[in-house]
Amino acid sequence: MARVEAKARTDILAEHFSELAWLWERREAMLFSPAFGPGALAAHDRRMEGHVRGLVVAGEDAVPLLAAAIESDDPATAAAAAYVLLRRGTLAGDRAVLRALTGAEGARLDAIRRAVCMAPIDAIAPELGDLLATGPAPAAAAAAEALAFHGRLDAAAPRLARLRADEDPAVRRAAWRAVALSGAAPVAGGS
Amino acid sequence: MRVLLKVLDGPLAGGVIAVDEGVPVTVGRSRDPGVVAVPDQAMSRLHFVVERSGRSCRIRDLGSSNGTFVNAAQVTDAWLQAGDRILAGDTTFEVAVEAEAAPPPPAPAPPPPAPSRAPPPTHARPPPTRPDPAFAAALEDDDETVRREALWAAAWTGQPWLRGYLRALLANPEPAHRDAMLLLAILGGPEDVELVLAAARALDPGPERFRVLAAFGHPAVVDELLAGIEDEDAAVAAAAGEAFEKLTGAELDRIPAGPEEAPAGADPGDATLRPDPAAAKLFWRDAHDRFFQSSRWCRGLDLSGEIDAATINRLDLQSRLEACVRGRYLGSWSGSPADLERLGGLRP
Repeated sequence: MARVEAKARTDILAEHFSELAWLWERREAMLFSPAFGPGALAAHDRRMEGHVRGLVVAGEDAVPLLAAAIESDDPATAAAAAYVLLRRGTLAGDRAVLRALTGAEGARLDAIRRAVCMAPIDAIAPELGDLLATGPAPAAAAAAEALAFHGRLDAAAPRLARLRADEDPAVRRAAWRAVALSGAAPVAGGS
Repeated sequence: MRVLLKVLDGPLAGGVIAVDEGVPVTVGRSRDPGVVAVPDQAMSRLHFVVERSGRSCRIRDLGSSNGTFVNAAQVTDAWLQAGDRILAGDTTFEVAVEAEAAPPPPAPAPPPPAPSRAPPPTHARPPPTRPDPAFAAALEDDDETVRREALWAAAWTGQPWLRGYLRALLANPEPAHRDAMLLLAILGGPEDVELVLAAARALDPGPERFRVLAAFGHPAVVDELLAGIEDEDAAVAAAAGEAFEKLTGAELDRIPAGPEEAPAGADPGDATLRPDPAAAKLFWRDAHDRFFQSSRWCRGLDLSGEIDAATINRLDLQSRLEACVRGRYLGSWSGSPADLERLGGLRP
């Protein structure tokens, strides 16, 4: 009986997560679309929030699912997992997200960075600052962007100018997005 | 031929406004870019606009509270000639027409300097300005997406050189300047009509070109959109129709495209749809005068002045982004781009 209940719970959580990942992908597409208005976006966000809460209240039961999903190469799946892990507010979840942000590349890095932008970051802001200062360039630029999104970027951070001049265009792009999000004029420099 | 508006009295007495061919001059109390600002409390923010076309010059009242008068007769739309006197608020202008080759007229004797007085208005475009050194390399980056992000960062951080840079760049527009075109369309003013139209024509007819024109929101671009709606390519017509709807707020009926456009063997029920050009023309015929009373429209809302939260929330998400970056650049919106993206919607 207990096994049946556990299976049912797992299925429900998988359903919540699958729906959340799909809604996450949809949201990214609708964010600056002429086909939707703020009301539609708000309704979409409420729908997502229902699934997020379903996964958060599941506690440890949702962890195996989220731990596997954050490793996914599908951007929306990785992003949804990272977002829920941060919303859970556990040390293990926060560490999993930081680990993923540090090691991810390309579209997966972009996706996890987006999740860090959307989620509360009070608990990981110092680590994001460290990542910006000393992490690999792609992760440092992603950290800069996430900090800027939350209004926590120090525009005078010495690494920023170097990131804007990095050899990888994806890093340069992210560094300029951080400038836009920070609202502060960049300081010339870098190598 | 040069057409000048000489300011005879009022707060800017002694000033001269040049009206160039094809560049409408909007006069009012507003300090928005593109408006010749006259600090006359009896004037409306956007009081009147003067346009020159060839040897003709026309004035239109922009729905001002106190009206526009030409030779003491109130007008909403009138042709001007040399010697006409225009009264707007407490300010009188005289229309002067000069041969191009003639030396510039002696400037009217300026009034005694007053510390609080703004400099006499001129309509000369500011010279192109160089980008800040921190941006310069990124704006020349080999990667188009880096250039794009740097341009948007310049807009969000209110770089004062940005519009001059965009105008200089677009003096010789190329398709590769599409991001600069869009940004000037968003940040520019009515003085940029010809530049934006010419730049957009450097893009193939289609979504990119019509996105630029719709983002500009000036009624002078609508003829281009109407022509696009009639394009024989249904995809071009669809993009033009969406741009027309974005600017005007109209909702056009969709009609089946011609049979020659349906793929071979296609089900007749799957016919490609295109916006109805007759409906668009009819809408514009009725709405033309109203739209020409302002210089920036989106979804049928007048966005030429400062925007408030209620107006922002009536826009679609693309237009909201454009309105907010413009508001941020001009100092009328204090939010962050993050406010437009975060889960849970725009902060109150």
